[in-house]
Amino acid sequence: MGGNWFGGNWFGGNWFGGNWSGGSGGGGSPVFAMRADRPLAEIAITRDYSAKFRDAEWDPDLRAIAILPEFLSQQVDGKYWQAAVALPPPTYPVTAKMINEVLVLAVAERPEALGEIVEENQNFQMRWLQLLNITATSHPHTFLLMKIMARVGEFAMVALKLQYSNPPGATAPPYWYQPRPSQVCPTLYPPVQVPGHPAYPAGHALIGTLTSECLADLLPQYKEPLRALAARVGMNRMIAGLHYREDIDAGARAAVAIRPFLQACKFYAATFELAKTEWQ
Amino acid sequence: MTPWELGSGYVRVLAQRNQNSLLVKAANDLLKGDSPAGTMSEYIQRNAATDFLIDDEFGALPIWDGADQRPAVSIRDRGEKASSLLALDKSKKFLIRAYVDPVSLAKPGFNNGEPVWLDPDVRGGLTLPPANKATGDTDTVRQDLNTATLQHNGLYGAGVAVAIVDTGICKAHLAKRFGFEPDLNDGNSWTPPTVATKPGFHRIGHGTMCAYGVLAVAPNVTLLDYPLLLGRPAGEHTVSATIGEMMRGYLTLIWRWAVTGAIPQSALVVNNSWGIFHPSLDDFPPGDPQRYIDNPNHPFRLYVWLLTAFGADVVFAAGNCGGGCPNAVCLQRTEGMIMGANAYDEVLTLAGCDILDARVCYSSQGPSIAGMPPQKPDITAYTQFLGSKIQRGPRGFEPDTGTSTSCAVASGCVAALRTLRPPTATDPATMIAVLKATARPQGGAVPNYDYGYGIVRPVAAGRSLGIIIP
Repeated sequence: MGGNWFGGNWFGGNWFGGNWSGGSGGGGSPVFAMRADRPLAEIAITRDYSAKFRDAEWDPDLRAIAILPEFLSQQVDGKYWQAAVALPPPTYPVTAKMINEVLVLAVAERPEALGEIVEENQNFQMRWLQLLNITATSHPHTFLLMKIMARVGEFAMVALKLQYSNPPGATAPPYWYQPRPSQVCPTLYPPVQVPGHPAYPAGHALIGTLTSECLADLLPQYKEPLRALAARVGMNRMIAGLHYREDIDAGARAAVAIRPFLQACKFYAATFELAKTEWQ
Repeated sequence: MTPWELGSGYVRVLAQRNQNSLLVKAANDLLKGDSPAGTMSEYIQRNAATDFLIDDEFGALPIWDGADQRPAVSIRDRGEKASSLLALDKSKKFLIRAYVDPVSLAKPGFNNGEPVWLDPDVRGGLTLPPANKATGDTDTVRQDLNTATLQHNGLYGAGVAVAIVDTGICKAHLAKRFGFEPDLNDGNSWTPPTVATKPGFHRIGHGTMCAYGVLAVAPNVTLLDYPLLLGRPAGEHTVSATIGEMMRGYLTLIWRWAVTGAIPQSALVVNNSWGIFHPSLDDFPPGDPQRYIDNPNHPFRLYVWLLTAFGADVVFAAGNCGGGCPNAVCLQRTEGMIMGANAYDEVLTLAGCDILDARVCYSSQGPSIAGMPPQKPDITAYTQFLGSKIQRGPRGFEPDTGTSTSCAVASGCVAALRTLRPPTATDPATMIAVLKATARPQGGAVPNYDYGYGIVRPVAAGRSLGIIIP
């Protein structure tokens, strides 16, 4: 249970939300097995009974989870986050136009976009780290801030996806949700595994936009490329045949609505202030 | 600005607004090559609406008395008269680009009752799969067109500007392929602000293929590089250009050709090897006046009309959705696939044939989409030959394919004829009529929906125009 634990590389669990790995640092010490016949344990050394696990040693991936109760209890303008997001239901049944749009993109854009699609399937936050030229070691607070955004984004995504079960009207279980485009039209042939959660709203668009909008508060000089990056990552999921256009728009809109709730969290605000010092 | 700030779904539109000093200034900024964002921010502050998000980077485009009104202009009005007629401060209406909430858009009286039109995604024709083999090369195309006779009569394209509205030109590639340095005018080229590469220095691709097709027939033309297909709305979920981007480039062309006279050549040909791929990319339902694909009153038509009214020849590809082997992007749809500007009356619309004169099976056929002039394509030109070598495949270089190529070859033919026949002598409509009348009939009754009036014969057209002595 150190840093960057990967709970088995099965899809649906270990995907792209909070649990993305971001280069060195922030993940505990390196591990080397000690040979049993020559242990070092017999050597008497000075023990440090005042040793402390410093804040900086926290695995940011796990530390970020602590934002969730705070986020959930926030109210902005008298509303909790889900009421403020207020996404309309997805279009169901899916229309021919929605599928055709994705098919046209698959034919017209996928060959060029394929590299990005595959790279962004998991750990897409690496794109943001690369844009900002940072690592968990060089900018630990900014890194933690991004983990907080990712955890909140991941949670919000799941909650919003669950919100729209049995789309045309609430009926009794078994529940079902907005199908992925490739469930409607299998010849879309997504070049990456179809995630284990429904299409609406798009998680990459939600988390990507949330990351960009929040980082733009920290680094206004990068506002335009940050936004363009989020839009690109979202669009690539549509080119991949994993989303309809309304999914990525809804994901991005949800992110914009979520941002003030995140800003209202003390943990986020404190981390934000520390992150600012890394850019001075 | 991001469209999801609306908090609802969005449609990207071109919205008509009444004249305002800031809109005049924004259009002027655009024509001067400055960013209109600052001017538009002020306009946006004064015209903010929660269901209407204005794209400040786009600026504002004049449409004078409205999209369906045609100013009284003629080819001879270029210069001072055009400057007076089209003065920005005389434009009563302007277009701005905006993202709007579809629910609000559907309400009566939206945008103060002023019309709104879709700003749809458009793209260049795709290179076809490698299975499409070359049926000849540049020399065989030249033989079929008889460019030797054209050139014997001085029809090299000298003094003719050809704007390649596409993905940009790589001049060095053309120089290498032809063995001479093509003339490309940087100053009269225009690059969308979201594009980093410079005129003549774009990545080798579709635009270079089109420029090659033109030069193969008319080597002495002056190329103008308009990589409008690389332009994108800033910060939005899209990967392609839109009609709005096309309109910005076209306005620049209208201005330089008709108003300021910055384009010194005696003729202007505009090559358009692009289009809208599929009806599903039009966001509005059939019959809606806000549509693009089957709406002859979309404001882009006004710009195309203005260019032709001032004597420019506007040439469009029919598309690659023909019955037989439509491009995959057509999603098996082959009827009514000549859509939008590709079907306008004013433009010359090109089908494609191989050098054996057989229609290539992907060449889009008429009739055009319902609502547009049905008798398209107009004529046919050659494609499917080993030409520009912009793309290498598993078995060597791929041929130049698609109606993109036939469009460029036809633009080259028009440019060659324009060497000695400026638009003041033969207007674009007459040029189209001559090309149709002199085309080699093909495919049964003429005109037909496969070849239009037949395969282009520039020498016969030159004879008909009296610039080639029999």
